[in-house]
Amino acid sequence: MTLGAPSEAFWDRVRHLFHAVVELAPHTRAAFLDRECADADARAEVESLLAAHDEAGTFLGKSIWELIDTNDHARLTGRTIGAYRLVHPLGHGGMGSVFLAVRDDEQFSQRVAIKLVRGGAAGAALVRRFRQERQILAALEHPNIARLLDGGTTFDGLPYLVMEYVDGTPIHEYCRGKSTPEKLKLFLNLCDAVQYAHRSLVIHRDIKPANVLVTADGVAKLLDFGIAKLMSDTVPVPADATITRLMTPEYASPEQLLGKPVTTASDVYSLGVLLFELLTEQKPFGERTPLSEPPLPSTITKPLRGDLDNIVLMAMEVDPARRYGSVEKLADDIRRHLSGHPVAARRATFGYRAAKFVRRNRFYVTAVIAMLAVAIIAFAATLRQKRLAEHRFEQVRTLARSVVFELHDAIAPLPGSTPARALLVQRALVYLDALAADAEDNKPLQLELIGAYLKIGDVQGKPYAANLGDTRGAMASYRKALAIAEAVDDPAMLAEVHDRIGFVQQRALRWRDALSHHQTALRLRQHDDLALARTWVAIGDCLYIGRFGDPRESYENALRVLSRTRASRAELLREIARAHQHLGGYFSRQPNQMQRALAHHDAALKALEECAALAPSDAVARRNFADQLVMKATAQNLMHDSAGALAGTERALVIFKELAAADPKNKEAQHDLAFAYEQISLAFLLQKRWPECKRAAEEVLAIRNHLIEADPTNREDRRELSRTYGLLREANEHLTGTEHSTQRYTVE
Amino acid sequence: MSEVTRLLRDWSAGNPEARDELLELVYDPLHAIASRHLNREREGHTLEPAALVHELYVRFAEQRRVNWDNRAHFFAVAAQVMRRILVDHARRKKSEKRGGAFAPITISAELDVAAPEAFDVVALDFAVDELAKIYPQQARIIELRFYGGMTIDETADALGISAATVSREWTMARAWLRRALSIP
Repeated sequence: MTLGAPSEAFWDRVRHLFHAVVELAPHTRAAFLDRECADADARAEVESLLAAHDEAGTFLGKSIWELIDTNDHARLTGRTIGAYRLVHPLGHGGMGSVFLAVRDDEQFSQRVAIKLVRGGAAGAALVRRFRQERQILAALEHPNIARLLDGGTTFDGLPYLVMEYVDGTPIHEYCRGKSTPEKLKLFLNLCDAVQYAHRSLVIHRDIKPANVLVTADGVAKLLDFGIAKLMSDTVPVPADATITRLMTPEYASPEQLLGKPVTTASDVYSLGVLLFELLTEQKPFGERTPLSEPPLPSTITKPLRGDLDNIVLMAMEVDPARRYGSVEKLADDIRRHLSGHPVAARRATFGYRAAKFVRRNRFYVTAVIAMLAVAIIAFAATLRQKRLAEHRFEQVRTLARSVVFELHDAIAPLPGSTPARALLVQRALVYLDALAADAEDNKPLQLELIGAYLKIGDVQGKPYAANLGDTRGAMASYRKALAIAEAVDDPAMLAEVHDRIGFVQQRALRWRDALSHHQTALRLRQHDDLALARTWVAIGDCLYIGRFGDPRESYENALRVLSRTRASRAELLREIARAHQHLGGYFSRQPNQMQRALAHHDAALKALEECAALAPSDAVARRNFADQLVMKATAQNLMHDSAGALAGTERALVIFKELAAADPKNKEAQHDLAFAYEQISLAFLLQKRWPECKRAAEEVLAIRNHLIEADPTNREDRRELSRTYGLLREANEHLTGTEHSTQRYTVE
Repeated sequence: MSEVTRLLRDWSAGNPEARDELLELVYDPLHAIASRHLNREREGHTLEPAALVHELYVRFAEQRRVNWDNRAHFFAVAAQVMRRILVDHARRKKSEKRGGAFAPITISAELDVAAPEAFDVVALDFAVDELAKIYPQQARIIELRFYGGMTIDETADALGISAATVSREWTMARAWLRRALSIP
């Protein structure tokens, strides 16, 4: 560095310039620096860094860890060990790497997993030991056990074990999201395998999710049977290494952790931990040392309360003598639970627990003093934590509330904010959910939860608003809101939830369901006139499109409610416009009512224009105005006023395109574009301008196909497609003789 | 390891002293393992040198299970330990060799791996320190990515900045170090 002591500002300048220039094509960099950088020193520095950048190539491209891994694996891949050829690494653990290998005989090709064991002389002892036990281990033949096939030493002295290759997913990943009975059934297969091995006097000693793979056919396979025993018998534990090297502390039984004799009861314990994790999808001890009793599974997943709590706890008893006497007994209890019979495991009474505490302490005589000390400290800590926890509860809740109700609402009107809104609400929901579990009778909190679920549902797929096009997700969120709302005494909130569900049902074309939800909402509505008007309009829509009756009265009820309402100007205008819109749509499809239809459309247009003018940066207001232009065009097309329709839709298209570009993830903006193009296509059809008609219809087709692909439950667009194909067919028939063929548009 | 967990928690809570304490706590045992591995005579076992560092890795991998938040922190510590182990070891080797500090110990020689680039371990360490004086964040990124093996996203999480920023600063830091190492 020849620059003396350059200032911080100098280095900042260099950094900013470098970032800007490095993106440019090399031949344009000089011109850029001429223009942007007057400081000769900074320029020299940037240019020298650029030169280094251009020749950096793969420099530091691989981390030290990758270098080690690749090298390790690259050296071994393709090598032949015994009768097997190593194909590629499957992973590596404490004792070595595991490779997928094939046995290439002339007759057949068998896939196996080969575990290469490290550790020099100790490894050799391992292989010797394996030879002694291979008879037993290789004889373990069970559909849920991955067999140990062979073992030996490579030419350079590396011991290895050959095992049946299982192509599957670790059981805890496989089970995620599955129902409790499904999980239990899979777990029973596993119990069966362990029980079988126990009868052959083989203890697994290292049962954990990573050692249980589930194949694509749903068959659970237990790996590494007997390996842990071989390892601990033969590989000396280095003085500075803990016992954790040879097993997985979270799944190991207390007696294993204390270095006491290991029996079949240890496998029962590990199965208990595994069951806990499968059921709750969490580890029982988190970061604590597993020498204490686990929490009740139902504190994590409520429905597990009762039998399953008791079963898991009995399997995970600290004192081996108090656990299930065998894997078979554990499995029996699970079967009894599945078939609704009383289980053997019982929640301990206080007296029983106290007695057990004493007995357990006697069992671990050496640990009595330490345990007492720990218990006292833990007790004091719990007291302090409880006070802390209450304080924290309020803090978390305040934060979540602020995120859902203030931050979200603040960014909602901004174009392009849809994914950010989803993220915000989802994150906050995690906290709210956690809090709700602790506060069942806390009404304000439950109202917040309902509000949050409604918001997430809205972002996922509330029709006619910016959303992510996930109808199914929206329905699920609204249903969660409903479940809570039904237990809370708040009619307005309950009405709101019913209306939202109704809207989603509408999008799914389930008009009868939608109608019944909106009617429920209507009955619940009391003071909120704006909301009441919305509900009336929704009822009108369901009656009309579902063909259950005449909607006119419902729409007019909405207008009547609004005429007596005092609300903010913008909100009122929006609702008035909505009622007029729907009346316009209705009249435009009645015989000889076109003038009335246009009058309503104009009234709606006027209200929405004023609304948009009140808040020029509000994307929703602009969208609503443009949408109304298209609605009016629909009526104009029906009246064969194609010129008027084109003028309106062209204006709308400009706004829609702008909004869609600003928020590419917003599916509603795509719907809007499709509707606009459809009316344009129709107007051109009326004018017999076939190429233009066809071009617009093709735009509609592309957008709709894209939407359907993204959200298969979206039946509305699927239904609309038939109209689009109608337009295309019409245009194509008039365009015959051109190079286009109609075949491209046949429905698949 | 509960002491480690406690220190990790304190560190994530914003107590910088906890980090130093943590480093002290894990450094010695890890260093002992790594040094034993790096110094041991070759026994003709292909896996030997890498296996030794692997053992270190396994120790860290155990920590992975502690909890997700702490994981990033632990790997940050691992990165620093790895860096110190490498450079200490290379320094010792240099002093044993004739020519002392002038004989470069390259990354390939140190790890007995085929690194695509041959650069001096000690020189890199020195250059990262120099970089830290001007662009501390870039030096942290190098540490987490190269010595810690973290991905762009993991690094972004650990530093609380965006992945795009990590990627940009990583590009510049590589250029900076590349230049620093190419001057003899």
